[in-house]
Amino acid sequence: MTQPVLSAEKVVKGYTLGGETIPVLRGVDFQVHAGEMVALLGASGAGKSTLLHVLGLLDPPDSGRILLAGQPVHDLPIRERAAIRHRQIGFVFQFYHLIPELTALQNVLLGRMMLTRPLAWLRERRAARARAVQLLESVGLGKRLRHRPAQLSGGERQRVAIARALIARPRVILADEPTGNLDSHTAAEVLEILFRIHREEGISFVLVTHNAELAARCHRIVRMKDGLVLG
Amino acid sequence: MPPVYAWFLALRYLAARRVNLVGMLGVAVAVWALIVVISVFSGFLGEITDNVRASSAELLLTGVRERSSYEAVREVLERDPDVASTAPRLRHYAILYPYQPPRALGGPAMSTRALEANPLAFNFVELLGIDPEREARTSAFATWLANPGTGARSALASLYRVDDPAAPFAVPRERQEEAMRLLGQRVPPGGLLEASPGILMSWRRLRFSEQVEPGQQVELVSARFAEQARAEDLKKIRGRFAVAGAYETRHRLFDDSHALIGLEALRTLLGHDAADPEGTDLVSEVAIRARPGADLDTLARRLAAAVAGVSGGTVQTWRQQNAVFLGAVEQERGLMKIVLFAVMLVAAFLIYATLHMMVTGKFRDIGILMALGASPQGIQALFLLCGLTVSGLGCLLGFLAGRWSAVHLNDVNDAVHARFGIELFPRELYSLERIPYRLEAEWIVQVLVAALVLSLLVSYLPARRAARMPPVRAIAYE
Ligand SMILES: Nc1ncnc2c1ncn2[C@@H]1O[C@H](COP(=O)(O)OP(=O)(O)O)[C@@H](O)[C@H]1O
Ligand SMILES: [Mg+2]
Repeated sequence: MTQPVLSAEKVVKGYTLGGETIPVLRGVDFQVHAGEMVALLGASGAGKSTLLHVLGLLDPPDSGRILLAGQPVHDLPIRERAAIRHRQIGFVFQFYHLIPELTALQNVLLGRMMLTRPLAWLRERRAARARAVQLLESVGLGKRLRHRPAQLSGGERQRVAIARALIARPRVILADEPTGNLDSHTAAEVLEILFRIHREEGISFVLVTHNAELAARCHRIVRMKDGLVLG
Repeated sequence: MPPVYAWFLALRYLAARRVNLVGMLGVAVAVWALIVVISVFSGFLGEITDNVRASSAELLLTGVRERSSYEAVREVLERDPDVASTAPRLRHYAILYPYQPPRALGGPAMSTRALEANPLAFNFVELLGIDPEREARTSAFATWLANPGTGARSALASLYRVDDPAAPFAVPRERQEEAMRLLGQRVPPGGLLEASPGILMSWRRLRFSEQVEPGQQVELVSARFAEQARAEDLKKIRGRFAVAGAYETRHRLFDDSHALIGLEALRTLLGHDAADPEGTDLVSEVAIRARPGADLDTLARRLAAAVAGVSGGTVQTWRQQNAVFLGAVEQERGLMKIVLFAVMLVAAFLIYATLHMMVTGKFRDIGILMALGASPQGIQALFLLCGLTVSGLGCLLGFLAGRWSAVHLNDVNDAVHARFGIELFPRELYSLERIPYRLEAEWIVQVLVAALVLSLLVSYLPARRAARMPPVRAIAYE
């Protein structure tokens, strides 16, 4: 077995509400390998989203470690964690989370702008734009470049979000119920896109889902319950 | 340098929210007002400084001991290589009213009421006795005589223009008789026995009075203490003068209070005449002109020390002579700066409020940006840039509007006056032809920098709040 791209070791995470700490992750071990597609299953409230946030360095663990290509990254300074998140990890959310003021193309480009200084951007802009257009075309939105999120359907918005997650060429994509808000037909279309990207780009995926049929198409299924990984 | 998304989003966020125009306009109004009002104040200050300077001798020796002799003082003063010339002055106070012929000659009864209706506008004058020839060499006296009627003033001014600046106090007898006839007074048979000496009134007094004829006789009343007498031994002084014309220094305080007469005429009035052999030379102050390039302050100190044994007294520069007046206007300008800066504070608060609202509304975007790899510093920069852009645009707008308004102030004033009959700036109040303005680069830079720094300060709190928002809560829900 190769070294995992991204892994969690004995991760404990709780939220404090009104002086009381609610344990959400209670010692989770989890790995995703290069090119692997892992399905993360579990009842609502099991801690799947929380695990994704901790894996994606959005939320620090209370204890335990997060390793990227074998290197611990959870205790790096916040700036460096942000930079790693930008370069290595892409997020796709259930509710798309696009910026309403920006067009589809601008939303995708935003995924490339996080570390670039304005002067450098002048040089990179054309190439970045070409890649954003290409990504939007590959998810079937070549004719929707200038539409704003409000002018797009749910499935189209999620495809913009996928293009945005891809533009910085991440190693891992963390997708939290990407089809949870879509009708079954649209959901199938979006999933086909995800599987195709996985095939063509060799990016690792962690896919949170309730859909057993979908999970069956993944390399590996990990089940969670009450903040623990089962089996 | 903040990353590119901060610039990119700041502009788009602002463009999408018209409420930001409020903060921008607030800054624009504050900058506009600070530029226009202070520029007019500075222009005004420059103008009155010029006028004050023109109304005053460069240096003035005052507070001399009683019975100081001009010749003695002059000798000491002019020995200094930095003194170009000096002029003697004598100062007294008097009440002035138009001459009324005695009742025997058909004149009305004199009454206090008649004094109140004095067409000379002010009864009370400071009489300044001068030597025209020396004064012309020492102060701007020649300009004072040339000034009235310059510019687009009424024809009245030329009527009062002094014909011969070399002999400004000479009013021919025929002219005085002519004035009497014009005023309906009966000229004694065979004409006046002798011409009265001339008196120069200020243009500020004469310009509203069409009732004062050039050459008209005015009566002057004052009092003095008898020499070496008890204090209550007050002697009445009376003299008759003829209006010789108008002068104007353009310094309002001077012009409102002073009437000029010949030095000898005043000495005679005060009894320092042939009967008092030492009295022919008495002065109460001496005007001094310095050589070009001389430092007035050091010269003033040196001259004061030089005359200490001769006449005593102090030597004041033209600034010191008018320190209270100039200080008051400068104080007003300073106060105005503070008042107008309050407008800037209001504008800054508007920026704070809109930015605070924006951060609250952008809670989810902030989470998204962090998920995409934005650092808290970058998020902070994004909202600082929002505030800075709002005030930067406000500054630009305010600066352009302020500059335009200052340059076109007089046109605007004229247009408003022509259309609505309202004077935005009462030029007449300060006897100004044009509203003066002075756009000082230093002040404009100060205003703009202050606006930008202030907006940065008020943006800091909302921006910091944005940077500290927990990203996961923002993206967990729709
Ligand atoms: N920011 C938070 N503050 C407090 N409680 C939270 C927070 N995020 C998640 N939780 C709690 O943690 C538990 C697990 O949530 P989550 O990871 O979203 O589960 P899942 O995605 O599997 O449905 C839930 O009970 C939820 O209420
Ligand atoms: Mg969830």
